Amino acid sequence: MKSKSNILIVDDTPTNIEILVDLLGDYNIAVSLDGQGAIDISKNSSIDLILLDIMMPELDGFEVCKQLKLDPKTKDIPIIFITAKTDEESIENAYNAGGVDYVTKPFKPREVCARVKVHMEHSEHMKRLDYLASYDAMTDVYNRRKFFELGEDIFKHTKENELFAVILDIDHFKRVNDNYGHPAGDMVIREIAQVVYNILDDNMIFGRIGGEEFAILLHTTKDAAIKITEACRKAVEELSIMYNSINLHCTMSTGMACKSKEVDTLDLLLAKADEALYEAKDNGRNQLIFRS
Amino acid sequence: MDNKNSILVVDDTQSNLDILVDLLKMYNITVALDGETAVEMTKHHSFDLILLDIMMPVMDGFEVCKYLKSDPLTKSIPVIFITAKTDEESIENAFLCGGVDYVTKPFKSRELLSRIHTQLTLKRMVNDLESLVEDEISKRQKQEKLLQQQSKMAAMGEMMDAVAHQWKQPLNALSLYSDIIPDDFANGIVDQIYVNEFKTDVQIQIAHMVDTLDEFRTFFRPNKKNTNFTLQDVINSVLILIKDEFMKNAITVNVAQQDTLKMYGSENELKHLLLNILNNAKDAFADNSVKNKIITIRLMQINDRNVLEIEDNAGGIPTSVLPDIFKANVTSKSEGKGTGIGLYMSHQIAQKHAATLSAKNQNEGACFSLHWFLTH
Ligand SMILES: Nc1ncnc2c1ncn2[C@@H]1O[C@H](COP(=O)(O)OP(=O)(O)OP(=O)(O)O)[C@@H](O)[C@H]1O
Ligand SMILES: [Mg+2]
Repeated sequence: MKSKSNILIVDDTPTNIEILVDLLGDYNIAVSLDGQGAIDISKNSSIDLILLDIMMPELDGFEVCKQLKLDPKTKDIPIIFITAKTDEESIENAYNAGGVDYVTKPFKPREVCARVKVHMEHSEHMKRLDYLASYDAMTDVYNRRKFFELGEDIFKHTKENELFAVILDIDHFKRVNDNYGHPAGDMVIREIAQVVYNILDDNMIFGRIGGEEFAILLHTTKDAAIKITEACRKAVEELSIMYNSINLHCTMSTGMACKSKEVDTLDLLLAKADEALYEAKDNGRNQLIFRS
Repeated sequence: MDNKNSILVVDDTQSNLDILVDLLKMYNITVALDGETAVEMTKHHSFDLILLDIMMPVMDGFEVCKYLKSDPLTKSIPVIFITAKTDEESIENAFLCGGVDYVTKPFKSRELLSRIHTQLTLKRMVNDLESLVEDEISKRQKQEKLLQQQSKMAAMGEMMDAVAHQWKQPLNALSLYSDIIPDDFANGIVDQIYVNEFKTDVQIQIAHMVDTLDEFRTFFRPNKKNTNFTLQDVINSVLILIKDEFMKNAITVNVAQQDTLKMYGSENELKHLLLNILNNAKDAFADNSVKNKIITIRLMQINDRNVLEIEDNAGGIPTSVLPDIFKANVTSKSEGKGTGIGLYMSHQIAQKHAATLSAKNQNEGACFSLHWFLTH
């Protein structure tokens, strides 16, 4: 079910690394002999916990920790410092830099294992909670709260004319619920979310923002935004969902708007896209309307 | 924020407690001199963190910790052990019991403060996330309830529309009867036999209205009683319902080919389907002046398929509505005359019976056909 967790060990003394690798045989281990290497590895692979030596040439452990805490991608990785220093100042500094624990050399092997385990469990618990708080339970795409959280962020970091919001709404969805029951309706929502999700790239923000309503934020050009939205609409149109040996077919209407001088908040942008969506519905559904 | 956190400090040596109380002034401190008291206190107070000595008489720190971790109310309180024991076995044990950290005595004050601060921060992060998750769950539940309610309302609305639609025909028939009776009376043809017949006709229409009401009350609910029936039966009872009205409009209904077609499902719903199609033909005749108004019904078995055809010679379906004819609210009739739900409803009924309803223009009028496969 669950794959092994990944631990990164950073120490400039190979013998220390050897001891730790032996100790932590239950985990997948990555190693680095210097600070910069540790930062690169953390950014490029999924590391669950870091054991970090403080005293290293060039980038020392404190500095590595500080840099990792600055990057949203790595800031949540728990860091346990390892060091021969036992003075209070060093310990305090380690915590101030953002470490969660501190172990001193020479290691007590069972203590190291126990501490690693405690923090690993804690961070897994946090990840699980974070997932529950951020993803829609039915479709596994972002929920409304997370969509807006990420949306506000991308809105701040994009210029006018290069951020597009799309609202997608399943046409006549109530009829599915009425005619075939709620399990069928749920299935339709799930399948459609999946189809759209598969078309989108990783850098697009896709969330379920209402019962049968989804939204996408695309940082791209107008042509590309239209192309991808149309691809989603078409894919849903062609989708055939088997439910209790009945083939269900659905379409969806989509409304699109673009960040501009006047449209200068995320709420406004989504309101514009919503207007466009209503136009699409009025126009006979199963289509894209762009509101500039 | 930290100064509001409450910490329970458990140690059997008063002097140790004094030192800790002094060091942790910025927190809300409660002290306990033995394990039992500590456990008791957690039942009446909610603590954000517990500092726990290991060596205590009667109930030692490990036992206290195990006990707290076994109670859902206290299991998420972080426990930091503070002890003079430095052997690996004790350290490992402390973590195994559920402790989150281990500090040896004599402790370094700033280190202890850092460790406490870190654990409180970690705990707060968990708490924040947990309340977010709870929020999300309750929001989702509310949303689902709302959706269900909305679709219930929508279903009720559709039901009312459907009943109103299907009542038009019997109401027309009843009003027709009451129109005729004074004339027939004046002409002296109202006798006992007439009255008996009149009564039967009225009763049939009323019975149909009652059935319709019952039918649509269960239309949107699955699992109602289904039966085996033949299409002949359906046609015969529909013809009785409409005979006077169609006679008055000089429309002849022929049943041309009569293979025995069986179906499983709701017989009444099939009546509604047929009624809708026949009434549409009647309306189409009213819009133009065809001399010989004829509707032909065919019941055919073609290989493993059953086909019911209803063809009229009323000039055909306007090409503007033909592509969308089975969609809701599509009508060519003026406001008040047609709502456009007749064929939408019929289409739904067909679907429910695993049949396909289609429409085309053929010969001098429209032709509707219902296809379904033989079941063995
Ligand atoms: N036999 C027919 N000949 C010509 N046109 C037809 C025929 N049957 C249906 N139509 C066309 O199809 C349209 C849709 O029919 P439908 O029964 O769904 O609604 P309606 O009859 O207009 O209104 P309602 O049945 O709700 O009172 C009609 O308005 C009419 O234009
Ligand atoms: Mg009609």
